[in-house]
Amino acid sequence: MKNLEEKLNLHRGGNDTGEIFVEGDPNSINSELNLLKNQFGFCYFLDMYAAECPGDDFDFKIYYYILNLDENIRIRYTVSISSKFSMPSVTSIWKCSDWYEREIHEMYGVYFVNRNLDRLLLPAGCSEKPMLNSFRMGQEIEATTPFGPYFTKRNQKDPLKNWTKISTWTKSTHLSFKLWLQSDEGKVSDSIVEVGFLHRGVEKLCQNLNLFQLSPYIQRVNSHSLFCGELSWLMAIEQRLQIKIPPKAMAIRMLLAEFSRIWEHFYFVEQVCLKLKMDKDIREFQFYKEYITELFENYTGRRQYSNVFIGGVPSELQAGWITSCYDFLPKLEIFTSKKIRELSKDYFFSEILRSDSIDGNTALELSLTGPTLRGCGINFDIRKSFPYYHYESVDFEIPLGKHGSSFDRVLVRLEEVRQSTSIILQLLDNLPTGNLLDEGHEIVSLFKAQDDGNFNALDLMNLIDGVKISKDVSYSSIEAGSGEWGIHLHGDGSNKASRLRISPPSFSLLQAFQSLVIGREVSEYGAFLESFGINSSEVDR
Amino acid sequence: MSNTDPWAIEQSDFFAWTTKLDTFLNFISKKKAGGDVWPISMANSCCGSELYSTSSEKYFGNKISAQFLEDSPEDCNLLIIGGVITSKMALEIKQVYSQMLTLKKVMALGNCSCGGGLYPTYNIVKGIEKIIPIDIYIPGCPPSPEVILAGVLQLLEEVSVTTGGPQ
Amino acid sequence: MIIKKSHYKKPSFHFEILRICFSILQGVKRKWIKRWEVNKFTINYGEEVFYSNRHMGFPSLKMDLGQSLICDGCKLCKKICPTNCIEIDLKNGDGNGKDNLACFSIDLRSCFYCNLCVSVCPISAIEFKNGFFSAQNNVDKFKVDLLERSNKQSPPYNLFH
Repeated sequence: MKNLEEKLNLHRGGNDTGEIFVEGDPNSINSELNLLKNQFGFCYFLDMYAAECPGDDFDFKIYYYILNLDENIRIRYTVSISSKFSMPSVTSIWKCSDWYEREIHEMYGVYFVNRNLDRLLLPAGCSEKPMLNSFRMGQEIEATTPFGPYFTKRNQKDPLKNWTKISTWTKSTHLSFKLWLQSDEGKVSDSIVEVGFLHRGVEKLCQNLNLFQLSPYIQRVNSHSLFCGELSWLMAIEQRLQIKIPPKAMAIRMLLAEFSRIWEHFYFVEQVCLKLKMDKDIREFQFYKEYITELFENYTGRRQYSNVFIGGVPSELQAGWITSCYDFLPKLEIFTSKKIRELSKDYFFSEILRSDSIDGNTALELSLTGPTLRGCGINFDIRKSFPYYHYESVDFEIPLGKHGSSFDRVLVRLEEVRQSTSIILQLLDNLPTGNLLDEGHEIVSLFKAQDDGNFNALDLMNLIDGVKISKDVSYSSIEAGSGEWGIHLHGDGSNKASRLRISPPSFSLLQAFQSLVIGREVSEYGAFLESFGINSSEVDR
Repeated sequence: MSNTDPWAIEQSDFFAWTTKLDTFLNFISKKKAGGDVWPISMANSCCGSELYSTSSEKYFGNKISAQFLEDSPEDCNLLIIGGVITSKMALEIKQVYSQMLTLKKVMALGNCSCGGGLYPTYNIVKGIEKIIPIDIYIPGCPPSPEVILAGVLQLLEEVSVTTGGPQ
Repeated sequence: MIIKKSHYKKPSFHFEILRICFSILQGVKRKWIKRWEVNKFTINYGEEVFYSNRHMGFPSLKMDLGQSLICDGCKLCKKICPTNCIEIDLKNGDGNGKDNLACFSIDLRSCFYCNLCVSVCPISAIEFKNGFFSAQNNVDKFKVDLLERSNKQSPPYNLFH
């Protein structure tokens, strides 16, 4: 395809954010994406979503987002179609685009050829498309039949073979989905996953609320982490409105992010130990987790969801906070080193978790992220490839595993905790001085109006309504505990975002679990599931 | 303790903890007459993580471990509902509620299940009191563990006052 | 970095027998000898419970040194609240000025502590205080009138200092 080569050579090295924009033809998607994957090396599938574009000739635009791991370049491939066009599907090239296409079909009504399009997030029996602009906020949908196509698919194959149903909300607080496993002589031969029990429709809310009013909703998308949603939302806004944070605020936000990473890793290792009924380890992990939430509360005021300002950080670090950090961190490092040695020497722990392995090629095809990808031996971390804040000047290493089993994932998580403690100690030794907020920007001065006392109420309201987002598309991501957490922002020229897309890591991890559990024993699925690091409120949004 | 003036409840809460915790622990270790509380939790998202951290050793000692979350509903007395309630989830809660023992209590944890207008979107049931009768509401987003403990003690005191002994 | 080779080695059988004997002895020691020791991690109620200084319990209106309210009645906090849980009533039309408030209530079922009303207020008349709002039986009691609470002559909300 000479057109594609010319386009790529023209745009390379142009954009600031490292992105390349390519306009595609809807009739020849498969051949062009095949070229991109096999010849140019864009083998990693990040995201796929649709947006409505009023005022143009076409009705919908569909975006494909793919990544080259060697050279750290992302491509945004857009296709414009009308509402009656039936799209070719991409599942022959990437296996993991299955659930993305099902979500586009049920939210917008786009039809894909040669596919079995079942419901994913909405209840069965519902015939409305909620993400369209014609669907108002006060409308409601029907939920008539609870057991939809999953029931019929289960009955079609063989009604006499064993299907066991597992509902996970009475067993753990971070998982809520239904799992059906077909067992054949003690081993799993087929599996179905049903999601959508926590679907709140956060992406629909952005059409009615301000930028400032949206931040508490995006914090609560990931329910089992201290700081992950807040940081990615702040980075997306500040990149878009061109606010530059002073270096002291960057360092304080990095401290909170590293503490939150340690909390998440301890949580998931504790869940693996719970499934294997090892009580003594659970108590020790809980002690260190409680200490971290107390540190978090002493600085920000809330145990879980802090309210960090746009443009910086609202208040100083207290002197007692820093000294209690210096007392606590050496104990934490000794504890994790002791745990790594104990758990690897434990016969029971390592025998169960070591029995399966994931190849590096299948990991890239299924687009795994985070510690699961690094457990298979692939070196990819957002803190090193697309660095943000002070991560370039801090000294740390990335642990890699060998075989890709659950044992490797647990070891990678515990080793990352040790690296995070060294990052925190380096930051505390060299804290920069200076301002806490970027005071030159007019939006940040809105929140400092209390000191002056000269502001009129009408002036403030005009300032809040007058914040305009440019007519552009941007993407920003951070490295959370489970993988890559990304936000796409589409602007319109008005003070509200026209499309907001959240791409969490657990979406592709849960989809990969559906095909990876085949061949294992039925009684051992629990620890295998917990080692991935899946959070169900992220999947449903 | 009268329930009409909320200021009165707050003032006496501090003293309630010191005297009532003994009776609560006795309920669990079955030293006084009666008193089995077997909880089952359907707490889902943010409120679920706070419920999980109250079951740690900091608040309960060695009496309850984190494994109280795994239970079948046929043996249980107390249903704890937390987190966002969507239309798919409401049908599941109804099924679990019908499978429990006949004398049961329900506790609603957090703002989303109390029926507040947190998420004004299409998939959410606004107020679970249309489906299931609830005995006590605990506010907060998410409520910290001290608030959850105070709420549980208040529920147990009501049970002993009205019936002369828990079921 | 790649994880060390020594973590991947499988433990030998004879080593396991020695470990099992040691763990049995440890269990005996914990159950029979150290049985009366109090666990240092659990909180012994009877002592005071400390909240940190910045803990956000529930909202309240600030008072002057002369025991009068600072709040003006400009209704900015009502406009920026994402869930519309604040209700304000004024006595004399729309005029700003002190002592103009008839009713200021917050529905605590919808407030999720986002701190936007605190940061937007130009005179800093509202804040979050220590303490908490206890559990209720009835749904109607969650609409709290903040004027009544600030007018009462009462001990401070934070009982635990």
